[in-house]
Amino acid sequence: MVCCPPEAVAGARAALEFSAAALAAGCRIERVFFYHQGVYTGLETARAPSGEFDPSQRWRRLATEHGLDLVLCVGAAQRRGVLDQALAEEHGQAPTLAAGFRIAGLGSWLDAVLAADRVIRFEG
Amino acid sequence: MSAVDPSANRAARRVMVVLRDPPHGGARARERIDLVLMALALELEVSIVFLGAGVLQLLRPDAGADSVHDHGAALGSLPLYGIHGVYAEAEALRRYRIDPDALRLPVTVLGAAELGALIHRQDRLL
Repeated sequence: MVCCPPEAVAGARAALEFSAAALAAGCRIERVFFYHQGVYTGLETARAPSGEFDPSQRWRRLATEHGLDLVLCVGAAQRRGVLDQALAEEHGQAPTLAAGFRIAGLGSWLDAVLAADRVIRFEG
Repeated sequence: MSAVDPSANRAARRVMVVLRDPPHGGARARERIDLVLMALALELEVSIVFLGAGVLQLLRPDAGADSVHDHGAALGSLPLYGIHGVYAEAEALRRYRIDPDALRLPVTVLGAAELGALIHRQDRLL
């Protein structure tokens, strides 16, 4: 679970590097769930200044390489203006969800918690 | 949105949700109760434990108090949804001078050692 916003570099980097190290060590990651301010990681319209650490892009790359499931909490995402196609249509707005991420309920986190051996939470 | 199947055969069934947020600190306390309700909907064996400032959630609100963050109704409904156990940390109740007989929810008050043993018996701590 990633609760830190992308600009909280220490937390965001710890989450990414921990995940990459776990994968390299042969662990399987059931799901990466972005909660609270962590959902900003999946905001399409946010841009890290060039040359700076870009968690959104890094997660996307890691997900592509390892088939990770990157999920934003629906409640936290709506509250912060991160909308997928369905939510955008519901609110009459343009979608703002970055490619490689999807939006789902807290139940999908709980489901992953029950399936996994360990839950690691990264706070900002 | 992916649906979660309550009838799925899961190895982990016994979960405990830790409630350590004060009731007036924003949406966190309420979000934790939503998580409890979600776990109950999945037909898990759910217990909750109030630790630290979380025990303040057990106080009855003052009449006329700002009710924006009062999630007492949701808390009070938990026994109806078949919650397995409701526990509170004895030391926290003492620290906040809360009378265990004047709470809005019937709770089992446990000391640190008993709580530790109880937590150890869970499949997952949320």
